[in-house]
Amino acid sequence: MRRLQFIGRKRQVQNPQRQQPLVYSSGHLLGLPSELLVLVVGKLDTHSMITLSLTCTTLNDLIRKEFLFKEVRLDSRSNIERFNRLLRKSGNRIIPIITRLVLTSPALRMDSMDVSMGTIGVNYGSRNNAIERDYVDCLMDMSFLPNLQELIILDIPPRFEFPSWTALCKRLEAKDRKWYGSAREIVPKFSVKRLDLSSASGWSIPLRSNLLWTFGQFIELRLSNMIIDSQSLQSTKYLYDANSEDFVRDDAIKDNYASACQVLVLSGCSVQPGALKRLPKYFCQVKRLELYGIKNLSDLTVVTSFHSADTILLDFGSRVFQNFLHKYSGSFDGFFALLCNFPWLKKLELINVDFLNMANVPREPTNSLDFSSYKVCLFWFFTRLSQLSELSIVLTSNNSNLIRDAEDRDWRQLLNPFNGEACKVSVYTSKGMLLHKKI
Amino acid sequence: MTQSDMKVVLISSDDERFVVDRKVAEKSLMIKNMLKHVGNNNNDDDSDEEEDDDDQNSEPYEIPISSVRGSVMKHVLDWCEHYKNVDFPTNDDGDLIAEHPVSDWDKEFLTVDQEMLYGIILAANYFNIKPLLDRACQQVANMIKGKSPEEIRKTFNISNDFTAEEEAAIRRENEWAEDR
Repeated sequence: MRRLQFIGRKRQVQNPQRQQPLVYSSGHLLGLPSELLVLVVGKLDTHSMITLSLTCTTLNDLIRKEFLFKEVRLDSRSNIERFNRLLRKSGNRIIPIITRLVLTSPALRMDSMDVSMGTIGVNYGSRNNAIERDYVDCLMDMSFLPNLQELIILDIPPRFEFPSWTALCKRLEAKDRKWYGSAREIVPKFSVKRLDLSSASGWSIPLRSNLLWTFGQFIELRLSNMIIDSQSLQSTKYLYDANSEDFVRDDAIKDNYASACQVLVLSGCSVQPGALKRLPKYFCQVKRLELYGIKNLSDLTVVTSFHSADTILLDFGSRVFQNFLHKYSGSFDGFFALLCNFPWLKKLELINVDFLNMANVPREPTNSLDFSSYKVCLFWFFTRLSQLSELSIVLTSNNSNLIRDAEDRDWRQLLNPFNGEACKVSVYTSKGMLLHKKI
Repeated sequence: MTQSDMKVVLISSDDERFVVDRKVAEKSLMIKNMLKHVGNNNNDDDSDEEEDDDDQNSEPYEIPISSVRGSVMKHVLDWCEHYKNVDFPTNDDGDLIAEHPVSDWDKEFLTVDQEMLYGIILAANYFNIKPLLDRACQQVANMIKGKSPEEIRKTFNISNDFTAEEEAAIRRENEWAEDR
């Protein structure tokens, strides 16, 4: 009789007693490992969660950390005030567990010191102004949160800006943390790991440097529905401050201020030609660039501005890629020829790909000018991509089903232009399951 | 012998042997993945298992499961047997797409003492049987809902390790989350 030894990777749950070795046995609710307790608690409504949290410290700690305070969402003034009161009263117990802060619709202000946002029109009364002051004060309080990893600001209205006297996180923590700002040597420590900014719905607000300097340094920057234009990265002094260890000391490197940001995610953003000059300098540390919701070809060509980005992700569900293969020869061939020849680019990731299925086996062209059918275009597209060192393709969910049962030889046929090339190809379903790998 | 009537032998931590149809055992995605390259045509040259004797597939496979004891295994396999012909719609990762209301059969099935219920949760997680894990967790959640903290402590034999002041403070703090 053959014995099939279990050799798969160990699931986390091997030793149920691990969490509370002394107190609870495996026959006790609290004997369950915390990842399974989380599944149970996740089935409860908030009220029941709160009741359960009052039973003992183990459950209270778990429920606060994984649910109640996992993400603190502040969307109104009263909300912010209450939260501030809570922090003042019981800060030492709450503060350490807060890792993600979501602020929605930051209030408007009028007494802007730098008038860099040029929108004209609406006259906001002094009442709004007062709200703004509170808002910023409260942000100052919150910048003390030591374990804050992600700061998400949603629904930023047009004309919103942080006043220049708030260097929020940066100013308050400058004593403990260091930022270096020369383009050559950036050894940053970060105020938050991820900063996520998005426009109020229906708007595309221009990115202004006050939205960035306020938060010091971060590893990842996500911008949604914003416009990056020639003024986006100006206001040198403040950006420089945010990026420098101390206040400006060396005027000579003032123009070389750069972000230490390593991951840049642009979603539905449009990049205006005027911005292309500053982008490569400011984002000189970006290793990974992700573009979602690309509207038109000029927003796509922004990738050429990131000279250290060794991984680029393109969302093929974007408007610009509709009918991709049919438009390939006219719009995209030149772009991908250029992209795949970037010496710094190691890996290209294409997501939401909908044109890949077993009926679309690329057809070899009769000559180098042949773009006669979309299958020929697919051949050219793959031939371009085969110059990369690594390619990953994530299918749309519709596509995944069509292609799931394909066998190895089907894949070899479909990816024919890659055969014999060094390029590694992996294809995944929309949920990340590996369908095929070519080494 | 075809693949479908192939048998699998699962051996519990206390050395109890359970002989089940492959189809039943494959309710467990963990086992399904293990058997992926077994008994399927011939294209399993990249599988991790030993493949020296391809024509001996008639021998049932033995799979030692050292982290699940016999009493729990029996229960879990009963569940798999009951649902062997039901496909639970999952996404590509094997996560359930829709939450299923707990059926009467499940309610009956999960009406067991707490030790068994937690055993089932641990085993369902280990075997990667999402629908069972989901229902068993729901069952525990139902035991929590609608009770006061004191009633919950009683039900689950939890000892209160808060001081009165702590409890008041926590009540105040956590309520922030409720009506924000």
